[in-house]
Amino acid sequence: MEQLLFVIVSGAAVGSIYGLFAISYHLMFSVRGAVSFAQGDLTMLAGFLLITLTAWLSSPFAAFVAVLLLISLGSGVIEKVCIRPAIRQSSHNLGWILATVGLATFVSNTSTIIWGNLPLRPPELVRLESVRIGPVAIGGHEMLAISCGVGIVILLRLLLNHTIVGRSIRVTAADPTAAQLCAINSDKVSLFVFMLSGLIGAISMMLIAPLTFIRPQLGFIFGLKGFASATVGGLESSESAFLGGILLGIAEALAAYFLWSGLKDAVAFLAMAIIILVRPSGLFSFARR
Amino acid sequence: MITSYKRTALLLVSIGIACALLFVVSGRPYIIYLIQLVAINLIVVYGLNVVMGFAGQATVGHAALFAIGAYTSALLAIDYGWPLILSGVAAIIVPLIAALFLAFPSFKLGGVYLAVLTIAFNIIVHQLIINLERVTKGSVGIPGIPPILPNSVGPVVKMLPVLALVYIAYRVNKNILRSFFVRELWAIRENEALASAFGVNPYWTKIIAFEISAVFAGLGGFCYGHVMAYISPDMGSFFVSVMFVMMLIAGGAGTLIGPIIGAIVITMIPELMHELEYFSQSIFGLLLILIALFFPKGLYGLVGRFLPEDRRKPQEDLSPARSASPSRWAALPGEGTLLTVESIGKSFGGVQALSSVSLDVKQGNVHAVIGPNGSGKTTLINIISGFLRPDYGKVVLAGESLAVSPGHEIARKGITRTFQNLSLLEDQTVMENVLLGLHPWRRGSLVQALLGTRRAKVSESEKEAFCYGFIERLGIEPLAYKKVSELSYGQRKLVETCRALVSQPRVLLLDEPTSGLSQTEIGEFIDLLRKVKETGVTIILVEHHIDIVESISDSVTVLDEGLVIAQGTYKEIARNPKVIEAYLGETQAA
Repeated sequence: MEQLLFVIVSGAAVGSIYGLFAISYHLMFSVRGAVSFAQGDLTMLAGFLLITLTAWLSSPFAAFVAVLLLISLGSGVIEKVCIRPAIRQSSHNLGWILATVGLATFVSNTSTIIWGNLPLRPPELVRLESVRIGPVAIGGHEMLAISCGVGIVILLRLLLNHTIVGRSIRVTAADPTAAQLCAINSDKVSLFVFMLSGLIGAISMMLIAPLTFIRPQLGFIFGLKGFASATVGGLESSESAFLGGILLGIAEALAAYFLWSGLKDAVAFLAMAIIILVRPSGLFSFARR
Repeated sequence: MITSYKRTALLLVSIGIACALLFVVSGRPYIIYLIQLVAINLIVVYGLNVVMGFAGQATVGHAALFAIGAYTSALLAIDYGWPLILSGVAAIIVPLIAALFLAFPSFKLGGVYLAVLTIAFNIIVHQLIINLERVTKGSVGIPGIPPILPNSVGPVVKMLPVLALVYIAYRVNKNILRSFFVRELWAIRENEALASAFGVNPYWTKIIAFEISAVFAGLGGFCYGHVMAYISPDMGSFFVSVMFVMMLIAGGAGTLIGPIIGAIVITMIPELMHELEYFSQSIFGLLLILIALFFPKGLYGLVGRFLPEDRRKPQEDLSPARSASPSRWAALPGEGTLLTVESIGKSFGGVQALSSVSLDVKQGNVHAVIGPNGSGKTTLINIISGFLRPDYGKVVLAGESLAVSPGHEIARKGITRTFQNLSLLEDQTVMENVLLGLHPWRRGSLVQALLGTRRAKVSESEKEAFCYGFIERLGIEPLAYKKVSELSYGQRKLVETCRALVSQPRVLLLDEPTSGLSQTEIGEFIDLLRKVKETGVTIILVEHHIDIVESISDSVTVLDEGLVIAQGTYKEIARNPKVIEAYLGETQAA
């Protein structure tokens, strides 16, 4: 029983990361109708940059801030250079899909060249002990991951509902042309949203780091699972996307525990395939259609 | 014009050059290896051309099918001693089945979901090949795969099976390009609603295209295993899929020669840059970004004007005799009510677009639907043609309820619609666009199209003659083989109307067909509509030009804010105070 709880909690922690990726995709998709396949690799890059910058700046916090800035900027550049021109060019979505896939390949391979193939461990920012709740010891970092995830969801909802920026985002997502008629520059909003996604990605890196070693190859599949989470939960709102992530994380952990760990990666995509066939709008979407 | 003398001479010269080259090449095994590698890649890329080039679908996972083909054949040949013919067939069937499982969910939503699922499939298959060591020998790989032809035949003859398969892949692409099937793929690529409107089932057609590509991927894998004699899981990595896509896009997706260019160039790059192999993935990543953003048409797009066109050539014999094809409906339409809309309602979120809208359209009539902007006219058209599902109510065509049928089925039942924003295949000729109009009722056998049989060719030329008749009737014959992108707005509208007429519908839904036309063009259009009406077609016309409505409509429905406010002949509704109020504001003193 203890084992099971432990599995579920770690699953939820990883799921929280998936959920954060899912939120990024939800945001990107809602304002641009496009996502960046390089999101996962960019996030891994955040981890590696953290390692290197910590060594250079000898202060983990300074490195942390620097990484957040760099990755956000990077995300913004991606939007401007890869996604915007591709969408302008034609209505077929092949352009931005291939451009961001190419970028993902580039980032992942270049990271491998610079930092090598062996798993590395980014420095911990906080030393956290396990927390005992009743008979179960839950890892401190797992709790941090889950609570940060939930915290970001709440903050995001506050941003979207109660600030001008947030409202601009929601209007642009609903109807870009109408947004422009309200003097909202949808390009700027897009840029902001992508940078925000980059920020969320970098933060999720800080949360992944203590839970697992990082390697460049991991980024891409993390990104994909994030997208699968968004599909399972529902691409419509950040809450449903996040919940999809938690669900997927737990499902994966349970599958690895009860069945075969080699099947672990397949779980996310099998879930995605099933949801698409059975309930395409996502499990947690309650929109009136 | 290439005469038959020149053609024979050309053939002899090419054979001569080929022999000379082969003679040179036979002493150099590296070149033989390169040629086969390019050929193998080309087989896969030609398959990809069908689903990504013609149909425009983002599938980035073919390396998985490639590897499945290779491993299937290798394991059957080595572990179970199957003869190559059988293991080759298995190398096609196993990927075909695997692709089917992938295709069902992926093509439901398409777009980015398709990309994600195919990528995920690739990664998972790759991992499975590595992890299922007992079956696949894992990372160690499988050595000692028997060649297709024994070594004794010499290096040159050994290449022949692979070259033959490449030729088959090329021919299938060519046959598709000359058949009705490519139009369906183009339509899907352009706009799935357009495809549905002409009777094409987008979901199944995409799956068929994908399965065709799976066959070639498996075939390519088969060749790879038996030519290279050793396979390892790396051949199924995601990066290999990226390479295949690069070959297609860099060469020129959707063309006949593009894949050849792409396969040669992209295969050569890593071979020529051995020192940079460590960086090759990064370089290719950057290359893909560049190509996707700046050269989406690939190298073929850059040099295409100097190469032979692979477009359909204008037919020489378009005599009316050949166009004496059967018309769509066996019996002449009768009298009475053909289409009934019964109490249709539809809301979008908080907006009630239509409330309890009912109307009757009599056989052979022109029924106009008018109303201010936002009154729900286009929503009504969308519901009648099956592109939107009503919240309540139903549409009945000749006694048969249509309400839950999807767009493509309704098109096949005899309702053809035009689009308010024109939906034409920009890069294709007028003739190709008009030919699409036949698809709701006249398609052809896919198998024959793929094989390029005589029957398929004859069928296509008959269709062209049939369409030419309509093109003449609309007065656009000089434009018949011009690209649509070169036409004016008014000419494009005529092409769209021509396409709609070719489908010989029972009910023709015209959504603001005269918007953007000049006064003269409008006059010509009215004449055209009269002629169409004489052929017995029932027309539902959404219009803003009241003079058109006045001159040709037999009955009119007036909508305002989703409600029917008047029905009857033009004279009747013109006097109706509610109509006057809706258009002019306040009731005028009579």
